[in-house]
Parts: sequence; C-alpha cells; structure tokens
Amino acid sequence: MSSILELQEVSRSLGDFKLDRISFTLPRGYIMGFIGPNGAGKTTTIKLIMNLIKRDSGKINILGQDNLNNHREIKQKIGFVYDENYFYEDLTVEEMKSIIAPFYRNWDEKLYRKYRADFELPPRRKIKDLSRGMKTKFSLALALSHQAELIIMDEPTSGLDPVFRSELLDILQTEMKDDKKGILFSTHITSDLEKIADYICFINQGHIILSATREEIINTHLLVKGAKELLNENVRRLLLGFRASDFGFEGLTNQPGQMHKLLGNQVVYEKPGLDQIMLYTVRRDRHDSSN
Amino acid sequence: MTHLIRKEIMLQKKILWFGFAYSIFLFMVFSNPIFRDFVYIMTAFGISYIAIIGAIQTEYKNNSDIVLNSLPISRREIVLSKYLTIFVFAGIALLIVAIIGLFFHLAPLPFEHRLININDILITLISVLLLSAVSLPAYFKTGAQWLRVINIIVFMLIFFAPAQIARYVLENQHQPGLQKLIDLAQQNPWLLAVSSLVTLLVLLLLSYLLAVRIYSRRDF
Repeated sequence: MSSILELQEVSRSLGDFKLDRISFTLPRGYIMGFIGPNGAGKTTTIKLIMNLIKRDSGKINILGQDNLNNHREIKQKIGFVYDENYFYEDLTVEEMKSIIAPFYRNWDEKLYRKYRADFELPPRRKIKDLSRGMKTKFSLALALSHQAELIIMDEPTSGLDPVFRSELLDILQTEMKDDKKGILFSTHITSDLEKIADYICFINQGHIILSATREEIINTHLLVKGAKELLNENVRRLLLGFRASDFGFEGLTNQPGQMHKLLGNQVVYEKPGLDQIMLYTVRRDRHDSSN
Repeated sequence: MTHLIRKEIMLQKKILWFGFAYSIFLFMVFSNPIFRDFVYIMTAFGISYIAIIGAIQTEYKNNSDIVLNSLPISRREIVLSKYLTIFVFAGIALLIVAIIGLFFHLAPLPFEHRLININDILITLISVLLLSAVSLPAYFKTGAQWLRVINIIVFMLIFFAPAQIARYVLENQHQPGLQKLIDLAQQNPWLLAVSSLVTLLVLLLLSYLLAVRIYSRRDF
C-alpha cells in the first residue's frame, strides 16, 4: 500500500506556537480526516505540506517525493480548497478560471464545465458576489478539474449549511471511486468525517494525539457512564477525560479491557463518536478533567 | 511565465481607460510652454506607476500569494513576472501617450503638442525602472503597507519634481558642473540616456535578485 502523503517528525515554531515533530501517513485510495480544535495546528500543517511556510525540521513526502524538491511537478497533482477565499474578488468566475487553468498540464475543461453546471456556478458573476458556499464550490471545481491525485482541503465545510456539506461529502466519496487518489480533509466538525473518513489524524496543541483508521480509533476507545460514587482514583487513572455532575459521570477511556475488569457491569459502555473522542482528549490535554 | 504576465494585464485592464482619460487631462492641463516638454514623460510615468502599484495592491488585497504559491509555479517565476510586467505596463503607457499626443498634435486647438520622441521613451523607462527597482523588493518584504508611503511621495514627485528640476537647470545652467553635464547631454544625448538606462537595468537585476531572495524565504 503506497502512501500519497507522509509526514515524518515535522516541526515548525511560529511565535508561541510550536508544531512538534508531527508524523502521519495517508495511504493512496483513502480519505483522512484531519481533526482538532481551533488553533491546534491544522492550517499550519497544511501550509507546510503546500510549502507556503518552511519547516524547521522533518520530512514531507508527497507522491513519493520530498515536497521541496520538484515541488512544481508535485503541485501539478495537488488540488486545494482553503477555508477562505484567496481569489481575485473583482474577477468573474470565468476570468479566475482562465487564470488558474493554464498552469495545469492536465486541465480538463470539459470536466470543469460539468462541475460548473452541477454546482450552478454563474460564470459571469464576480467572485466577491458569490456566497461562501458558492466560493467553496468554485474552489472545489478548480481542484477537481486537473486530475489531481492528492486533494487537500482546509476546513472546507466551516460556515456552510448542512445541505451543501452533505453534497460536498457525496462528491468526495464519488471522487474516491478512483483508488489512485487521496484526500486530506481538515475540519473541526467531526460529524462530517463519520460518513467519509477512512483514517483520522487528531492534532492538538501542535502534537499528533492519534493517527489510525477510523474504525481502529473508535474500537480502541470506550465511553463509560456511571454513578458518581464509582469515580475513584483508579477509574480516573483509566479515563482520558471525563465530565462529572451530581447525577453521575461520563468519561472516555482508551483501555477498555482494564475498565471492564475494574467496573464490570456497574456502568454503561457505549461506542464513542469522534466528537466525544476529541472533546475528552482535549479536556485531558488541558488538565481540567476534574471539574 | 506568460500566464502570470497575462494575469497581471487582466487584473489591470481598467488601466487602458484610465490611461486615456488621464492623458487627455494632463495634456490639457500641461499645455503651457514650460510643462509641454515634460508632459509625455509625466503622463507615461504616472500611468505606469498607477498600473504597477495597482497590480501590487490587488495581490495584497486578495491575499493571493496563498493561491499563487499553491499552483505549480516557483517563487522565482512569481517575482520575475512582476519585474517583466513593468516593461509591459510602461509599453502600454507609452503607446497611450503617443496616441493622445498625436491627437493633440493634429487637432485644431489653441495649443499644440509635439509628437513623442525617443528621449520621452528613454526617460520614462528610466523613471519607471528606478521606481520599480526600489518598490518591488519593499513589496515582497512587507506586502503593500510600505507602498502607501512611497505612493504619496512618488505622486508628489510626479507633479512637482519635473518642473522644479527644469527650473533649477534653467536658473543654474552656467554653473560649471551643470554646464559640463548640459554640454555632455547636448553633444552626446544618446550616451547619457543609454548609460543611465544600462545602469538602471543593472540596478533592476540586483533588485530582482534581492526580491527573489526575500520572497523565497517568506511564509504565507
């Protein structure tokens, strides 16, 4: 299984923030959800991958090549969708396309027109007059029209309505029918990933907390709910994070076997969602789990 | 590279209409004998300058470095395209003033303008290159913030400096140093203009190398 994107021990300091020796691998043919709270380092990582900022140390391999060497060739095969609009606002959709398209050797005008029609993008409308959803659709149409193998998306769904979010996820799933491709999808809306992500990479405060298949992550974590009296020191030690009230507690563990041994049938066990894994892990990270 | 230059022209296409309107205005305002000789240079320089600064501000306003640097282009090409576009904008500006000058030359008006000459072209190029050699590395280093200050200073210079220089030369033409320069310019006008142009091209090359160095190290 060849990797389409691989980061090894990548570090970068930016003022007070440090991206600290992060590593993860996205195999070809899969979608990776890159999750983490705001300010965790998702955009910085994406900027490092896109060579928009320089790394202090580490290695980034895209399609088997270092992202700094031969970066022009690599970028021919990358499609990008960013969280904000960086296109020229005073140009029309068609003018902007005519600026971007000639840079790509494999630009497929027919495919672009198909996406433009599917997404109902008005060709003569100025970029500044497009809604946020329209701008994202336009970025996506450009990203998908030059036979990119790696699609990098930085928070593409933030600020979008549920209808378009669902539409976007369907498009990505369709794209993945071609198993030569790979998608890195950064978001803090974890529910988007329940549907499409094969892999999850979870970053917090510049560190990778988890990076594995979605199934593996969900299967190795367990949500525990029980009476407050059961929350003793031994239980707390097995919990990544928890929330306690007068009625009881709810917490997350990544040691389900140990927890079963300790509490048996006295508590309720549930499979956690990605949002719960993120929430309780971040709470642990902030050392405020005992409130 | 041609795609990047095409992009610059596309973004500044309004400069054509502006250029014609601005030229007509300046040719009418500066029709008296003192300014008449400088009107081609002032106007062509003004149009070129506004186009160059306009292109820079468009990039800055849209934060488009992010998109440009995500495309399969090197940072060196992005910088080079900005420098090559200077010549394109100066060429367009000179063409506009030449057309407007021809119109004022032929039209039955109470004042007359001569046709554009090679000195106008050379001095315009020298001025535009000098300005670009200074302002482009500043832009690549700081974005467009710095250029607002340069903007104001240069605009003041466009309107006041040529007249002041002309007045100074006329009043002090018998000073030995200036006299020598005037003699040299009169005997070998080409030598002076061409050597200035070559010096500026070297300066522009150094400015380009500096800008590439600055831009290659920048984070976006």
